[in-house]
Amino acid sequence: MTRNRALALILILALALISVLSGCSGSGGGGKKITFALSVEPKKLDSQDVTDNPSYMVNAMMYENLVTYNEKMELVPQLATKWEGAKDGMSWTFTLRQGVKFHDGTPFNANAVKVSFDRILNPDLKLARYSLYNAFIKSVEVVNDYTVKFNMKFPFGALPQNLAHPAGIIHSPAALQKYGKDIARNPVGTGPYKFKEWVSGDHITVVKNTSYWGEKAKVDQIVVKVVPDANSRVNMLETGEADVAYPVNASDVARLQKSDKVGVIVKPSNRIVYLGINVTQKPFDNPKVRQAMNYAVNKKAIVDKILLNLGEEQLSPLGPNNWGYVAQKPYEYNPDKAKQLLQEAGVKPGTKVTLWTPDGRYLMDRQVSEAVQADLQAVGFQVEFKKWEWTTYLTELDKLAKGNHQLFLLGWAPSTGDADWGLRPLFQTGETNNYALYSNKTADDLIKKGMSATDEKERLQTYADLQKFLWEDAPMIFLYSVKQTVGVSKKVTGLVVHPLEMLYFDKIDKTK
Amino acid sequence: MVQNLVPSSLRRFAKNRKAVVGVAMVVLYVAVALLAPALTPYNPTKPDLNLALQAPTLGHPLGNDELGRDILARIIYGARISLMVGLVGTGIALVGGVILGSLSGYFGGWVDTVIMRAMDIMLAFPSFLLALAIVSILGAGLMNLMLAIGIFSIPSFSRVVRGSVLSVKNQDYVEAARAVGLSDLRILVAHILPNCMAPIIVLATMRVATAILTASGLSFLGLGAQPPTPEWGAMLSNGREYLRAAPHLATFPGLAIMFGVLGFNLFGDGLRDALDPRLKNR
Repeated sequence: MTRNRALALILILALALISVLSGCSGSGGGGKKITFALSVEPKKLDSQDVTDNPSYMVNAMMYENLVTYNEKMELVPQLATKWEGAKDGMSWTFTLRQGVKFHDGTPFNANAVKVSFDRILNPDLKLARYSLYNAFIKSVEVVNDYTVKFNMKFPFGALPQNLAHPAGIIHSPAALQKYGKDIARNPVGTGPYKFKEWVSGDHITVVKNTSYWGEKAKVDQIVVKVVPDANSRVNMLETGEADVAYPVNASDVARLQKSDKVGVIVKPSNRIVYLGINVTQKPFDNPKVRQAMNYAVNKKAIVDKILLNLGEEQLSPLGPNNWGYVAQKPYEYNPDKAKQLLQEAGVKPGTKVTLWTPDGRYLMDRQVSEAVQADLQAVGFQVEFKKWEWTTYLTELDKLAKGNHQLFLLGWAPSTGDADWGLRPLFQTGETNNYALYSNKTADDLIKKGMSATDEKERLQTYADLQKFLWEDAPMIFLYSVKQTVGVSKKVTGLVVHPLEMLYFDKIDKTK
Repeated sequence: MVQNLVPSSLRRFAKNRKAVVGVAMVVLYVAVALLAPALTPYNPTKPDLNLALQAPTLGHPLGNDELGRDILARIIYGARISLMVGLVGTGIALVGGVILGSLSGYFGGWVDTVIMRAMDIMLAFPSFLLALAIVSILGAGLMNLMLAIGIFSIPSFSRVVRGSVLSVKNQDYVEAARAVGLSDLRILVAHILPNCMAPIIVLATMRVATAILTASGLSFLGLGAQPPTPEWGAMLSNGREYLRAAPHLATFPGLAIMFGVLGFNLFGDGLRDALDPRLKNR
């Protein structure tokens, strides 16, 4: 017995010693470090080949576009210094910034721009954002070392806006040659930080690019930690282990706003969160059933009680804060009407459906899905629930050919802030984010018309018509638009929370 | 032998205060599970968002969860789920373990070697990891959860059964049965297994506790019962997100798990002490 106690004492002492020693080494590193606790792991560090904002956010630390949006949503130069559209709208010419080098030393020039865009426009590579640019760019021409010309398929006025999309990044042509598809794990751009390491499931580290062409980064490294648990993210923030946490759960916002060590930035975004419906499956091929589902879900209660008002009821297939947004007449919460519509459509009570949801990607997503499940059960569906880890979820949804998905919770925030990209990827036949497998001639025609219309009034009217049509055809359960909640340590300055749901770290700084 | 064991064991058991507490806890737990609908007026799966995150009140003594469901009702109905997982999981293990263990112990030779090496391989994995792997292969859900718990408990049963069979199979009365010309199956079922019951009962009781805990653990990780099933581990996991804002969401399911596991463990400990003749004179 005494021997056991002595042994226990020695063990405890040893443990204490180890923890003290490891604590010392932990605080020993030099330079300023920002730790960013992010809820999900980026899928790939190649913005040409992903569709999710967490990937874009981390990518944007290392990469730049020709043009970009500032915080006020004004288009500003980045790797291009000026640009001009041809009078007939059939081409755009960009003058490039000189003296810029990629992280691997390759000089930035017109050829690099051409190589990057030829890559995304190459149908054989099947990159996730192929269709964004293939819709209107015909070809990219090198005029001279620092001038590049984009030829359009039809007169197209919104090219610069679309080049500001995260997928409009410029890769180092040498790195592309060297890594091929593996560029996604070995990113090389021109941005203020360069890639250091990616330990899967744990963290991604980027370090300061000391030869950056613009205002150099103020911190030496950023560690992006993957922390799926909302509570842990907030705890890390409060103990100082993390400097930025995203997102912060609705239930923690009020408490953190009173704290003197940390703050919460709450900003509107242009994101909608919706419950997608695979419209190719019975009974969802019937618009009546989809409308019934919209009447069945109490969106107001979800916004008030689960999101704690950090969102608004969704009133259009297009998110608010996007160009062309028109609010529609809400589907009021009316389970009786829902039941009646379901009966008219011949849906028997007890019809089994499955509902897929991510957990922690969007503000309170899992809780919202559970509330939707209960509302759908109340009108007679039997809803089986399945929770997914984010990257597996995306991979599974991307394998649409299997077609066995039914209802799925997802969000959409068009990174161009424009009605075209707010609607086209979700509703055009065969588009990348059209997980609903929606295909409707009226919608397709309106999308095409909106894209090629040059007159602004005509464009606005087209998108108004399109929104009204989609609202009534209801290829999704319209849920809500959501605000961004970012937890930030009070020691941190310069973090930009962008309306297009991006966090920018290029000006971030930290006091000791 | 069995006949003599019962009265003296009962006496020993009744004298053991911890064991009596254990029995009381298990009885209460089973009663709650069986009487669930009579014990609460609330539906454990029906949200009422107006009551979301409400702290305990008179009407809802344990408060309401993130969707406004009554936590007491969820815990009461959750007892059914845990008990079912505990009993079915252990039942699967019991049947599998008794068959494999008795074959192994009775026949010996290559049968013994093959079965026991297979069990050794399974035992080489940490038990929770093994359950996790099985559920990952079968897919999440309550049925698969019970299967996984059953499978990962088979080795411990088969080893205990084998040991008991080995110690009994050379007894005179078994020799006698063999001399009379009884079949192997009959000897095994009618003469050997009844005399191996004590350790099996003890192990089964303890394994129910392990099964409840493992089920909660797997559900905590999202691999067990799917929403809106009121499973304690899943409730604990979901409540964790609100630990700072509404601590009652995670606290009460946690206590419920503790109560169930502790009850079965105390009960099992008491049974072991009572049924082990070697402890008779202590």
